[in-house]
Amino acid sequence: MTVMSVVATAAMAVALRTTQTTLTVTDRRDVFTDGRFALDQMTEDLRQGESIDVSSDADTVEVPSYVNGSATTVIWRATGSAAPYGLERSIDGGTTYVPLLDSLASNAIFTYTTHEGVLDQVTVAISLTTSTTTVGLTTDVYLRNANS
Amino acid sequence: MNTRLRALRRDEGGYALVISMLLIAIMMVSLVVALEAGNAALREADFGVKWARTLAIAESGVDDAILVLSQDRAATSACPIGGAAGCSLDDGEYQTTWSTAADGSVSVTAVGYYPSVAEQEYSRTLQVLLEPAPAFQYALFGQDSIEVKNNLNIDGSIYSAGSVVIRNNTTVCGSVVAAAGSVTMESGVTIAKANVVTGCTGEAADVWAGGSITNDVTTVIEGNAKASAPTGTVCNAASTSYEITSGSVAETATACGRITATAGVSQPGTSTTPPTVDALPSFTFSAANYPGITCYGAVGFSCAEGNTSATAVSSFNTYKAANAASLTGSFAIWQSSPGSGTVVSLEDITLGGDLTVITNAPILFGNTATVGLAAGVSSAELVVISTYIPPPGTSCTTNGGDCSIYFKNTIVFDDGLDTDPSDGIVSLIYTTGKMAVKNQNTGDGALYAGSMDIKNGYDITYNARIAKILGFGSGLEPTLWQELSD
Repeated sequence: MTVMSVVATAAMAVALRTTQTTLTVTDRRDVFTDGRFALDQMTEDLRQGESIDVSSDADTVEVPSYVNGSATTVIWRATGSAAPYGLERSIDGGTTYVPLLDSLASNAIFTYTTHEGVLDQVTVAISLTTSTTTVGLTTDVYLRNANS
Repeated sequence: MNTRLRALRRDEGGYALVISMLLIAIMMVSLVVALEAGNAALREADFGVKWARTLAIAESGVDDAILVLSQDRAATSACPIGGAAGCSLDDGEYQTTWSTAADGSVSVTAVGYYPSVAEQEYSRTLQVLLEPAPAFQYALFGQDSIEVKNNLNIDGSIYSAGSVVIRNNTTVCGSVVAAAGSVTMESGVTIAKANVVTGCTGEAADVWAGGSITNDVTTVIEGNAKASAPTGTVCNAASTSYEITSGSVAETATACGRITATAGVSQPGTSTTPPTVDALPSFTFSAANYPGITCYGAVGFSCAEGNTSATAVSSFNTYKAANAASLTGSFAIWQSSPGSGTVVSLEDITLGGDLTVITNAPILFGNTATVGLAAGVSSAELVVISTYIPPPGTSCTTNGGDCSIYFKNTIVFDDGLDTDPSDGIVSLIYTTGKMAVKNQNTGDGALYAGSMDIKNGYDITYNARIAKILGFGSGLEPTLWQELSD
């Protein structure tokens, strides 16, 4: 009986630990997936951008761009007053926004670089809060239509 | 009693087995869930990698289209969209299709497939607009020296691979570069940042010479002036070589030699890098660049500069006379033994739309004529190209002669509203030979010539609408890049 109790306790501990790890892995996977999807969408929008609007800053980027071949103004912005911040996208010049993320650790996600007098690069760095830690995804996006 | 105890022990052993099996089952389920969570993360990462790779495959299709089109503008896609197969890459296939517009721009659509067209898991579509690379950025460009004089208003910059002479109350709203020679500016000449008369604003108004800058006392340069010497020259603040003399320079005057002009900042005896000597943009004719082109040349042969006809010019002139009220389209005129006796006439034409005239013969715009727009036409692009080079011993001046392109006396190109650069006629007048113009002409666009002589009030305003003209430049370049959803 005693031996069985010890074995059962150990097995339960293993099972609980496995469950905990699974939850951690699942949470991280979900956060990564959402972050990657948002980053893919953002790079697609920014890559087709013609310029960076002067109103753009560390938490908001506004670009005249294209969505499925139609010219439009696309805005990405981090929202909220404290972490976790949200990430929203507008494809109608800021009239309506669609939330894509709610796990940003920081709202300072955009930096801008000028090449030969043309502001044509946006570096996007998003920090994602998981249940155990903060992970970062970073990409450099070049505006393909910046000179047109 | 012993029998009952033994029975109880057997029963206990059975419970242990059941509990053990339950625990093992729970652990197995937990392990499966944990492993599946890991696999799901891997699948998501794999999806992202393949999705990004598919975009690179589609980009390869665009790059391939640019390469093919740069070699032959009439080429067709080897792997058209909708076909059963694609052009292969290491880890995918792409298909491309393109179409050419009347203005020479090419719209390329490329679809990338991963891993193949037949077994596609992912596909992404790009649409890229290709346009001729910009080749015309100056209002006046001369391969040799340029001389302009007598009350001209030039909005835009002047470039000469040799020297530049600007005479008598001419205002240039722009900059002046004489790459391998001097700049001479006479009485009343102003190099301005803005011109209230013409509406020109925002120019640098710099003068840069690969030699001296010689001013009249009334000459005004509103920007910087720089007199550069060839690399390696020892500069001397007292030298009369590479000097800036007389007049005023509002900003910084820098010279390898002395400076006698008044200047905001004066830097005599200072070495600077001389301007780059640029060549006249070279023209390459390809009939495929001009859909629907009308070719006057050898009958039965392809439309090419070498396939000439003794009646090419006269045939075109007959056509022009009959259609001058609304002339539009693209025309190539390849004349056998072109010369001063075979002159293409563009006198008194009215444009019914964009007009392109390309010839190896001289061109005459005539005397006191207006190039206007037909009723209902608000804007048009006029491209006139002559590859005729007057033979040695002949003369071409502002009074005429054997010129590649000549016009005089109030030849007016209807440039529409001064406040609207998108309306009216914008013209590129180009020749590898000699161009001469005189007397009260006006127009928007640019004049490019091997050498040119302009006098008496030819007001020209550079217009970026002619920056990209077919047949010039290093090829096609992407100007609009779009990703279409699949």
